[in-house]
Amino acid sequence: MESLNKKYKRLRNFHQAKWDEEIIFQLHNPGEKGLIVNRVETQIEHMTGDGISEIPESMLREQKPGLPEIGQMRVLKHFLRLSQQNLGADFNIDVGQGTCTIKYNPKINECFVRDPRESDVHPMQDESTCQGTLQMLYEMHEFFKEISGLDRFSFQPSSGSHAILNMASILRKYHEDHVDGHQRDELITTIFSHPSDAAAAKVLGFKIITLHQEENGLPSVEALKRVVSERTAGLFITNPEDTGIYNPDIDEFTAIVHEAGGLCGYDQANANGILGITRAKEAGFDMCFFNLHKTFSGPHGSGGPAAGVLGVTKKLQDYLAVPVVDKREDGTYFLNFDLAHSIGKTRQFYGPIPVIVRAYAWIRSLGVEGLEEVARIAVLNNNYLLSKITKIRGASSPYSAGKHRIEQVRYSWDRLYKETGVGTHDVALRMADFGFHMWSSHHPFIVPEPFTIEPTESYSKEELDEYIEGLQRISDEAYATPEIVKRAPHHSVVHRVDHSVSDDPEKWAITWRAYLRKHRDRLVEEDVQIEG
Amino acid sequence: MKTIGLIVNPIAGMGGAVGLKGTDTALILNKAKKLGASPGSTEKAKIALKELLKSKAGVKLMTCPDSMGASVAKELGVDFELVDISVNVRTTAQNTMDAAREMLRKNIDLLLFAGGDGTARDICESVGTKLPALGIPTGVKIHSSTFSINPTMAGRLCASFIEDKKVDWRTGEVIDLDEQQYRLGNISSKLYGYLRIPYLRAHVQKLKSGSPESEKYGQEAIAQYMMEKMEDEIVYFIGPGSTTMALTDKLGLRGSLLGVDIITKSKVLKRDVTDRQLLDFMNEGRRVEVIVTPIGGQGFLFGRGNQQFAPKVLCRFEPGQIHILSTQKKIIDLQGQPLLIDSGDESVNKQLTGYYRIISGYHESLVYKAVG
Repeated sequence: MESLNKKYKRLRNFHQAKWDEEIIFQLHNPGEKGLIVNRVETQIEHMTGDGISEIPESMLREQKPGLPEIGQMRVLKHFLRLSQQNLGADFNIDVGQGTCTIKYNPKINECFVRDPRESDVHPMQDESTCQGTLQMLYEMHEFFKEISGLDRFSFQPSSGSHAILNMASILRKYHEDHVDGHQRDELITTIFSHPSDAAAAKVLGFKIITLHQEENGLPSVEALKRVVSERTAGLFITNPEDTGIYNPDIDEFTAIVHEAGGLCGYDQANANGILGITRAKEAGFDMCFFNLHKTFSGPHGSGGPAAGVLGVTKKLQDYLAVPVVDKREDGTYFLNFDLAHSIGKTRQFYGPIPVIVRAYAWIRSLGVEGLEEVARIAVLNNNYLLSKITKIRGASSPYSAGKHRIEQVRYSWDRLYKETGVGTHDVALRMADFGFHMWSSHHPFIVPEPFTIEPTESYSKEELDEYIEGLQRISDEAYATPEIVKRAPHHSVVHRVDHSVSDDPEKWAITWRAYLRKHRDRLVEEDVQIEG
Repeated sequence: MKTIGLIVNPIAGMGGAVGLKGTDTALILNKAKKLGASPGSTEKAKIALKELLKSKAGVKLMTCPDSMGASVAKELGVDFELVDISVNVRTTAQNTMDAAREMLRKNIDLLLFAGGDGTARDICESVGTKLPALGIPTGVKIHSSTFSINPTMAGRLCASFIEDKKVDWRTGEVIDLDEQQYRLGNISSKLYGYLRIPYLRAHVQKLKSGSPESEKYGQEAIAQYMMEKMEDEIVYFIGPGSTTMALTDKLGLRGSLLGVDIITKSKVLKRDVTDRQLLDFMNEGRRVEVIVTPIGGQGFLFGRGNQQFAPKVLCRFEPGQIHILSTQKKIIDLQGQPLLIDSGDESVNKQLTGYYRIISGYHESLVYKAVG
């Protein structure tokens, strides 16, 4: 251990803060106030009534909601303590969450979002009074036309999966309107495309055909030809795929599907390595979407808010979700709800505006050359890591050996696992001991013992080297003293979690109420305060 | 505290290294010993047991005399209870079967057995799915999907089980080759039945996506989709396996688990037929298609466990007339290796080589290659 500490000088002597903080419901202290809402002024009450008496009696609760009563300062401390117990993107070198495109979220962009001229705009106010916001949306629309080559964009989808659902709705409606004597109900995707491509389409009733990868990691043209038919509705595909390998036959794929009468949707959630380099149009796609919370620097915000802007070619422009933003001849902007074949509204109001504001600021700050440079640095960083990580004993990058990857690589610890018994999950937990986050997900394990590294353009060479040292050291430990890795983490707040509980309906609890119901006996035994 | 049974087939694996394809008979065993085979089964059983004993949860061990388990336990210095059976100096299949029956009678919680397909078959024959079991792979032939991937994993899985972690269960196929035929160069294998096998979902499935499909629901979803695809006027030759069995169950038919049946959507025309009967039926001139599932851990589509689909039967089908049913997990576990067709006739193998749309869920299929 001592010698390893000396060998790996870049690694920190890290230890996570542990506050032993209770669940917020357990902080409940009857009578303690966080905020006292002022009574409305008499004059106003006189004009509007008290509001509450307007609510029908049948809708009134009989009991007070079981919310915890806590003073403001305790609330602040509670969340600050929790924030110190995680490995957020602003703390660590967060390259270990491949496919999530964790990059720097410029803090100045928060100022624009919080500017009252943006934050105080009400969605119901007249559009003549929020021309600035509409102008921004319109300009974003123009930017994305340029970035993708497609013709019209909708800002309705509020996540990548939501954008796929929008694409699938357009696909379905288009085929309903263009019946060519066939029932087109089959959607083709690939096994290394995002699983939402299949899942969202299936929700709308499509039958899913998934192309498995060949030895080179890519789906084959031959396999695609074998499955297209008069039942083919379309193709939803990621490129580069989750392996970071770019499918060079992508234009042939779209041509084959078009010939069979289908449409092609491009999942560009991971576009970070191809900005300004390739476009959906030239690859033959009819639709594509971008995740503003990934490539375009919006924070992920632990699962939201997000934006999946969706674009289509002229042929499909009237199918988009409404409203879209248009410009009148007099230079004013308006919300256009009048699209002949629109799939309708797919979200309330006009899109996740704050996420769009951040992305707008990011694009404007970089310009055309800047966007392309983002892609080039992201690809360079990725291939630097590739050359280093594949030299680590026990690690490999399956498929297409010796070839460059785009923005990420799905690596494998298969050899490490077979030779030492240390698997990707163990490595991920040990990485936390050095203050790194490494995600060991990507189930089912198509690549055995997988881990996916996506460095983006944000991290410096020094930071990447520090991360590599973490992986290198853990490999050394796995071969010399595997128990250290298998018992990790040692410097973290939470030790190994028994995940089987979250697979057990008898035990899992998503809400505090469910937790009380399912675990009351244990809480009583441990003398835990359970009121509230 | 849980009780784990341990049965070691000490001679398993001896034939492989000396090219004898198994040790199912005494004659072959002698030959193996003369050719210099040394027991590896005991060592592998020790690895698994050692891994199990790392667990902090207490465990009772029940095992068989001498080389069939007791010697391994003694070496590791662990207490154990002996099952009351007599063991021959040269252990036999009968010893394995007696031990398994005795352990079932004594209500142990899980049986860990070290051996190969022959051993799995003995366990299957004596206790079937009544006793949960898990194989430590030590034999030459591992076609059955009742084994852990290696001895360490077997021990670790067993440890999770005694620690009361949530372990899931699946039915694993017991397949064995006819060794005599195999040594003559002829592949002849049969599906002998099933064992109830534990597995850990946490090892293979992501938590982010919620509860992963259990094998049972997976098979039901596959059956539902296939049922929708079946046509009234077509006759189907349906191969063995629990995945295809789920389809006959869904159709309300009484199919045979281990044999090939001839069915329509609404009735069983003939159960458990031979290749000859399949051929005779084809000569009746009705429209026929095939429904099969890959058998065992090695991804054989034809040639293992379903030899009723003889070359002279298969040569009359195009790939488009063959429906393959399989859970996605079974395909992913092949790690990219194509499905294998070993019909016994090269030209038939070639004819059936190509991409198939494997039905892998409800309204879901996976395009995957099969090669001959």
